[in-house]
Amino acid sequence: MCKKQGLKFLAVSMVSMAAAIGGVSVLAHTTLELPSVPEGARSSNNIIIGHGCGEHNVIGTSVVFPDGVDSTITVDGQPHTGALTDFADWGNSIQKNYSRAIFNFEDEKTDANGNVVGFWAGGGNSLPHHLNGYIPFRVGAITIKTDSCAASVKFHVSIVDVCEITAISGFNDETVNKWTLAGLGTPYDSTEDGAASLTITRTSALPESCGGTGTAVEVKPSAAQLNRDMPIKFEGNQVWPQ
Amino acid sequence: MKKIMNTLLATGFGIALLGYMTLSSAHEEPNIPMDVNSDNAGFIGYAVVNCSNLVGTDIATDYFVAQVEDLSPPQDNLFLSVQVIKDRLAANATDPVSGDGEPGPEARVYGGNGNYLVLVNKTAAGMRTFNFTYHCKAIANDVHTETSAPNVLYYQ
Repeated sequence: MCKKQGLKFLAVSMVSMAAAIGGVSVLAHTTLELPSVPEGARSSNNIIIGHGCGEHNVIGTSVVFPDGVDSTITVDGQPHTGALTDFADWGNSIQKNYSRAIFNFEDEKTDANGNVVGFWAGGGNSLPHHLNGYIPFRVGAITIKTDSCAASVKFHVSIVDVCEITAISGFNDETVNKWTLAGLGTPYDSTEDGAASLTITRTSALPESCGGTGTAVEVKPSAAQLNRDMPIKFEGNQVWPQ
Repeated sequence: MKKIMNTLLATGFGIALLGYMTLSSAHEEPNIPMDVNSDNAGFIGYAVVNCSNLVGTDIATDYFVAQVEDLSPPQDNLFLSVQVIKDRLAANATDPVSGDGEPGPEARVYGGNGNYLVLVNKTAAGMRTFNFTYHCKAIANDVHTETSAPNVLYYQ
């Protein structure tokens, strides 16, 4: 009974706050406040929600970082068949900073081993569609392998802002804003690459064998991970998509 | 809201009882369940913890230390241990008495900054619940340097 009431409370809160309000929208992507941070330093950051779904307020957001386990890794655009650990220590590196500045409910998303792979926030209030919303989180100190040639490691962060709770079939410009990659084959894909990103920049010296400039490593989530981690679950029940 | 919080707390505890690790990141992981079906003597947990300089300083890590405290009642021939490995260095520590309210000795490796591999395992089948504490430290002034949350790579 308690679980049902809690689920209903969240769902009703998220639905009831999705009222259209006339006004001006700021047409900015949802991004990270700090898209680039130096290696070796813990950093506080924010997801910045730039606007609603047209004139519909945002009632929640879902954020997924590549877990590095089955992610696609490229080096200067070329596929890398080795592991992410060839370049950087990454895993359980994200922590949600608690805040009820906008939404009343939030939690971290974890993999089967309990490692944080993302987070969600929603319910209680809605973010007026013409205002910015900051969703705080923290990134642990990430170290780039000193024996690698990586000058930077860029993580493509998948974000969906939710304006109305629907099933996947109900996804449209008035119900969700998808800040995700294109072409992965998931219902969360954008029509063109629009994912946010977090880039870890190297501060240590490159090995001489790297030739001076270093390489750009990029990490993209797998479709399997997005399908598993993008939904919002509250008290063990999936709230979104319906 | 209070009712929702109580429900959330109950749910979180329930998830722990199902055998999943719910990780915190304050250098202590409390009440971790292991081998919930009591049928796996070879149950093993494997995680990586990264040590780096104290934030904003050039104070580097000198060593990493880990402890386990078996919270479960004693069971014949069942002991919980933690091993720490870095490069060519390793250490092992076993909680000698389960359920006595005391953690086992420290497993300490003087490996400086970098990744420490942590293994947790036990000597026989049987469900255990344990606390895991860990710190990256500098010798000078016994300072805690930057300690990452454990990245759990294997737990079964």
